Amino acid sequence: MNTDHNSGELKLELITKGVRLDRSALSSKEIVRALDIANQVHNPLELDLILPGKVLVNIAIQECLDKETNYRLIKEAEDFFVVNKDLKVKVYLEPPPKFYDQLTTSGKIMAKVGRKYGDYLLVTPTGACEFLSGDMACKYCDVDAKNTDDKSVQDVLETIEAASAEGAAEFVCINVGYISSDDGGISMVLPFVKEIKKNFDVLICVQAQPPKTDEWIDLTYASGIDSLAYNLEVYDEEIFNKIAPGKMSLVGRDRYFQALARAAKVFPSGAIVSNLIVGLEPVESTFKGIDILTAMGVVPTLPIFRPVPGSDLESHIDLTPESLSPIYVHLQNALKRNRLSSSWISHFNVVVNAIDAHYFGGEAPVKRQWPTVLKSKKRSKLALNLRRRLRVRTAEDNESTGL
Amino acid sequence: MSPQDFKVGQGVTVDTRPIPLVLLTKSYRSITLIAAVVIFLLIINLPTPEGLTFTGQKALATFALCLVLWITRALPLAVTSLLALVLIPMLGILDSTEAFSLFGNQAVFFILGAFILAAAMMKSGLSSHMALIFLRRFGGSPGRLLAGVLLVPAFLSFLMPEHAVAAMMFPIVLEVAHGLDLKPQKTIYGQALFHSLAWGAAIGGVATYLGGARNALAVGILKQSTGEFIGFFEWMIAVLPTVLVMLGVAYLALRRFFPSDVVSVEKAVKLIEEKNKSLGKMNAEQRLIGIIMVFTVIAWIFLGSRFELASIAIVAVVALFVFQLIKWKDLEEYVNWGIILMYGGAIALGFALEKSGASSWIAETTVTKWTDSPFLIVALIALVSLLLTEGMSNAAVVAMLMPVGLGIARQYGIDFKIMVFAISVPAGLGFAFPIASPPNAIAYSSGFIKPRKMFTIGIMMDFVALLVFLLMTQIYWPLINLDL
Repeated sequence: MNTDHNSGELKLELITKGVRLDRSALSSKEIVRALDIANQVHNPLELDLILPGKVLVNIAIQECLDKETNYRLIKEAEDFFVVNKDLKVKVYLEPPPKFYDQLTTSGKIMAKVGRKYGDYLLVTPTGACEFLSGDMACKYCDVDAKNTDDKSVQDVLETIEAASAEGAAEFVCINVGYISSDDGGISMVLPFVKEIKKNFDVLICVQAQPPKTDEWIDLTYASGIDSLAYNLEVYDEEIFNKIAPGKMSLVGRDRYFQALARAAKVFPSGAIVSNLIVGLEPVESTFKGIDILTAMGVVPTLPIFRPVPGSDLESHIDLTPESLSPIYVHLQNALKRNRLSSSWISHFNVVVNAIDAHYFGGEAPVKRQWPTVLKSKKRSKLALNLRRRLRVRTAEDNESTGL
Repeated sequence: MSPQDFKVGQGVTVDTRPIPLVLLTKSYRSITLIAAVVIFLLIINLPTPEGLTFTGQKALATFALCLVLWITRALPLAVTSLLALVLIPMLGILDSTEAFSLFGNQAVFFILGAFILAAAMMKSGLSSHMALIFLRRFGGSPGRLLAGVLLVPAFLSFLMPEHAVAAMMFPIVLEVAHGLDLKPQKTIYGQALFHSLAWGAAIGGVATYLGGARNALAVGILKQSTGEFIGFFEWMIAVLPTVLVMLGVAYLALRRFFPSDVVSVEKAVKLIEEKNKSLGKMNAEQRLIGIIMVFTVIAWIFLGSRFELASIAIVAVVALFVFQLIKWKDLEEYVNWGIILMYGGAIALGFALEKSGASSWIAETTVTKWTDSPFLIVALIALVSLLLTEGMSNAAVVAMLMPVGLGIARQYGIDFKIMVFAISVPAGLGFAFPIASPPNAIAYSSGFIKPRKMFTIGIMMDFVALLVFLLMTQIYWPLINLDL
């Protein structure tokens, strides 16, 4: 059996086609536990695999992915392998973090409060996203409306503490959803940010909607948020209007670009990201989106579209690994051209980013690094804090000292 | 403040310029402080020039130190003044008893009293009542409403500090603008309204001692240094024509440079009516404060020379407390205590320069060298005052120029009072920048004013103001025995 493979291509194959679990894997304690947690939080099973070359991949085990997939995950002795008829690749299955099973003092299972993706701990504090259902619903979203009850600051702090204890929360990513307000939901996030920054030495990224005025973007940075995502999702205007009717009518596509442009000026280089979901629009359109965003100083993150069972786009599968690979090379070139680093998202395993581009004929891999140019995490955090101190001004600073 | 404590409304902004520039801006204060100390040490250690005593040299060094700090605002203005008050006895320029007693100058207590009276007017809502009562008499057409927004703050600034008038009227004008659906920077009428507010308050602020405390400061320095005094009524008589002409010029400029793009102001008139109704009738407290205010102004005019302005102001303040019209807690909120400290120190410094001969020496070695025309001297001083006030606190301009100006006046035999007017009137008439005056800054914060337009029309207004002022010195002042 061939053990030669290309980790980048394999990652795309696994993301687009999925993997079947072999009986040997299904009975393993790691999978049993992952299944158990998935059942408890009513989420589809997701597995975090590390492919050779430290390529991270998060795979959803869902029925609507290619049922004819040839890929199987097997377990032999203590090792896991991804196999098909020609290939056998040893992979590392990252077991679900220990904190997933724990309960917060209010009785919430921590897997429901925070989910780990690579070095990121994704927290969705409120279930109030107004784009979850009805006419305004985003057609691609895989957030389950039933599964998004509110979490208190205390719930989140306890979960971060437990996650940090096992090194699973270098970044805390807070997802806001859509809340009809002028601020894009930032006011709701600020109490969480305040307490997290007070208690933990972590970086915080926030996924929110563009606020109505730029003042909120400045405040977002000033308040200690390190990285920000306003997710455009697709570049093509017509498709955007069709698949994100809420974003189109309540925020407006132009406002996304305006807000991203301001945020890219305010935040450190590479810290502003925006999703362009691959597979929802023609490849040429994704190319154009990459070019426009990178020219603005925004790092596009390219999650691969995973159809959600029961959603409008359940049967929208238009992806092949061959069609995807040029996109990542294009992304790498665009980032290089605009002197942007994708290091802020390099540990985020649900997207394929430019660091994987070399597997598709791009340049040699960029060394995974902590955000900013400094090598040590501690120094980088100091540098980020210093930057904030230098750049943030209040009206009080601007006023004359005194009378 | 930790980053997480920032809130909306604090005007949080992120400086997106290149880091070296940001660093330079941030270290500006430290550089300035070091520069101020270096200049101070340099002057004090230079050989004493001919015609200047060593005491004068030390006073000059203290003045230079304060000058740098006042101009750059590296320290709060009040703290700089306190530093001057401490340095004067420490350097042996004046003995400590004399230096600290200057802090008790009656100008300081007059300003204190005026602030407390203004605080009572604002706290009770009397000032809002007055603004709306006057404003509703205008309206009807865009031109009339504009005149109202110019004249009402101007008149109120005769009685209250101009910054308090602008701050009090700002929400009213903002509501008028929103009521008329005016868009910030896009509608010309919106720009006109806020320019009108700023110009009205600033122009009105030079008319009496009450509009701009700098006027009282100038008179305080005058009295301390020369023994001469300008009464409340005397000031008004001298300055009012300039104020009236400038209000006319301002109205014409507003009509000329901001041609109305609004056909009807009916909505605004209705809004003012509604607001007025919502305030209800004037209550007993407001009426009583109004009566005290009227009696105080009458007393300042007719009894000012007999009982001192400060004494009358303090009696009025006592009356406010006797009738329980204001609480001490309110004063802590409304009174700008910093300005009291600033003025005390500035008066002491002015006296120190005068007594040590330093101000005369500056006059001799600078202006005297190039002209012997008193008119040109006054024109130059007025121009310098006007230009400086565009970039720095107008109180600081007065504190800075008064000692030198009095020295020059003595040198040229110019009436000291003329020098007071030449410094303090232009110091209140800066129109070109948001930082030129508190009303400008407040109006600018509305977002309606375009900085470029504020600058171009403001510069023109600056020079018209200078011209009007100089014309008054030639045409009007001789009629009231102020001969140049």
